[in-house]
Amino acid sequence: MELELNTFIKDTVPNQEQANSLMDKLFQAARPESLYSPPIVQGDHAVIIASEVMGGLGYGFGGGGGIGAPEEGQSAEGGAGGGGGGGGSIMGRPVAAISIGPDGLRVEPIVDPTKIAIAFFTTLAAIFIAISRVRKQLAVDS
Amino acid sequence: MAKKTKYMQYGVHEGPPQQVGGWSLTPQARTFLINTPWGGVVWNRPTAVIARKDDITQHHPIPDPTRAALLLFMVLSAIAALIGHVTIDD
Repeated sequence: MELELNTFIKDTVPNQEQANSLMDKLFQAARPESLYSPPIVQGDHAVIIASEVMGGLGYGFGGGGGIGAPEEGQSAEGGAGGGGGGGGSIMGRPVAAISIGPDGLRVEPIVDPTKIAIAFFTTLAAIFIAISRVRKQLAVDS
Repeated sequence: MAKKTKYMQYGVHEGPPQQVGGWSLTPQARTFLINTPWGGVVWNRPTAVIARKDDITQHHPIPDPTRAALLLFMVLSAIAALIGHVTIDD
């Protein structure tokens, strides 16, 4: 895979031009071929991993200047400054393994049990809270 | 690749085919892209692989059970939260 996933982008971005080039790096993730790994070949078989990619990037620049009040016998001195900052992240998650062999092509989904378990228990908590609120309200009404 | 001139893009795109084990595999992906002068967002997920060999063309969709389960739990949580909210208001 061309993209380096699950890492924070930490390039130095001193100007808009370089920020745009960093954006180009992010938009590489928008290419379909970025989601599919190079085939891992073993004998007659090959496996390609298909991944989901999500990423975001933001940046900004600013600057300003001013003239200070002149001291006695001195001319007014000016000053100027500027700066910028930004941040971003790209995350990837394997979705399926594509297996190619003499029998043909097979797509095997990759399940993430940890994510599902976390979502399941969060849902259980939400349902439990909703039920307890309903029961409390029914008790008040009766 | 998606053009940078567009602020937002959503759709299914095909990548260049690659040769693996005598098959020509064309990757397909669904892309959601936001591009602004201050940054951008990309969400890209594989949807299918089109496999071609000789005269045979096969379309293999890529299922994502993890995403389906997360969506289901999200909907259930939203319904539970809504029921709790409506009950208290009444």
